[in-house]
Amino acid sequence: MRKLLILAFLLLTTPLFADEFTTNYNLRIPSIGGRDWQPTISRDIVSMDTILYAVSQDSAKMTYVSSDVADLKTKTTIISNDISYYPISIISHDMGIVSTDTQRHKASIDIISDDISFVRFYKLPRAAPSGNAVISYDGSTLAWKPIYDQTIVSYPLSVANGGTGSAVGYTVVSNDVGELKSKTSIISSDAVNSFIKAWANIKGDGTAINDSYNVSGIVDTASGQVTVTWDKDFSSVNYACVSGIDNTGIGVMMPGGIVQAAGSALITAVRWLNGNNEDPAFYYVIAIGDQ
Amino acid sequence: MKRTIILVSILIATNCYADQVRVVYKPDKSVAVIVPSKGGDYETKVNRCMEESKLDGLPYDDIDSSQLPKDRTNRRFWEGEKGFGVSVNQAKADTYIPPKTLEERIQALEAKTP
Repeated sequence: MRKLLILAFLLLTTPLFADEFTTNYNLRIPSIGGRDWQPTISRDIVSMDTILYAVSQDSAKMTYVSSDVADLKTKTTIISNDISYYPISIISHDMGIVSTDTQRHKASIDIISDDISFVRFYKLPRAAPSGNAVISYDGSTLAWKPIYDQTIVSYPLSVANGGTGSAVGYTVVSNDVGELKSKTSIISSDAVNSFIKAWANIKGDGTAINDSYNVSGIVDTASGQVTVTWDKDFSSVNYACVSGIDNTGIGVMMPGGIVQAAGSALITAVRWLNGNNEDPAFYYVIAIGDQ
Repeated sequence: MKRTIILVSILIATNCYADQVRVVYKPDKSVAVIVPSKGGDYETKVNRCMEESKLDGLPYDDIDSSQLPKDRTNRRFWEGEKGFGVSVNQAKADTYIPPKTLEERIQALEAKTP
């Protein structure tokens, strides 16, 4: 009779417990060293509706976002097969891994690690838990824990599911998408190809660069012509370089020809009446292409 | 008073550094003036410009841009030598005959027309 009562009590309480899971939860990987390898639940961080998960063994690291985009771009790639399915994106140093759903990925969130070597990728359950610590994310029943996907990430995870883990850092991730977007940018190669790679606003007498990007400097060799040296070369001469001038107060002039090299561009200004090179008030130049 | 003098000196020195340019003296005595973009390392930037414009190996001076001739009308006659700065070769400038304007060319052609 006593056993029956205990059993009945468990049957009654388990659904209630499971119901709690369906509201809000956040996965948090336990720290290493003798603790079971099980996520714990925190209902106060992430709602099920927005489905953003943070995985970290150290809550102090969970919201770190690098602002060094240039560095990230050289080392990182976004991992996600399907944002709707895996609502988080984690950056990996494995350049072979790319998103197959760029459009949705870009519309979603980007997560940046401050330590690329520590990043691992996990499938996370998308459905709410339907039982006590059990969840279905793809129709099959899985233990409710992050599932390491070795088909995506080439190096093995050094923490055993269900056991005690060895040293692995889990870097992630803010669930504050707005904050992430304000601090970071993950740019697809398609988008990068369309960006202006260099520009400059140059004083027409060749004595100053008022402002510029990706420009080392200018070389003034004669009236009405300056050579703009790019800080980072283009991959070839086949980039698009456009120049303009401001001829305020100095008569009728126009931009002249441009002589492009991978690392520089000679831009000119001419007086249209006689075709002579003369100094404009300002030169403007922009360049777009592969680097 | 002492503080004021120091402050003014710093301001002047800072300003001079900001306007520093490199004058490269070509074998034909003409000069190229290299102006680095703002920020970063001056030496790295001007060396990059020299290399890209195939001026590396030529003599040069790093000077304040205020030491360059003020009038660029005769920029094509700027000449210089390391240690002696940049000046206008006035003799060349005085004998220079500028190309005719389009209107002058038209007038010349019309004058030849029977």
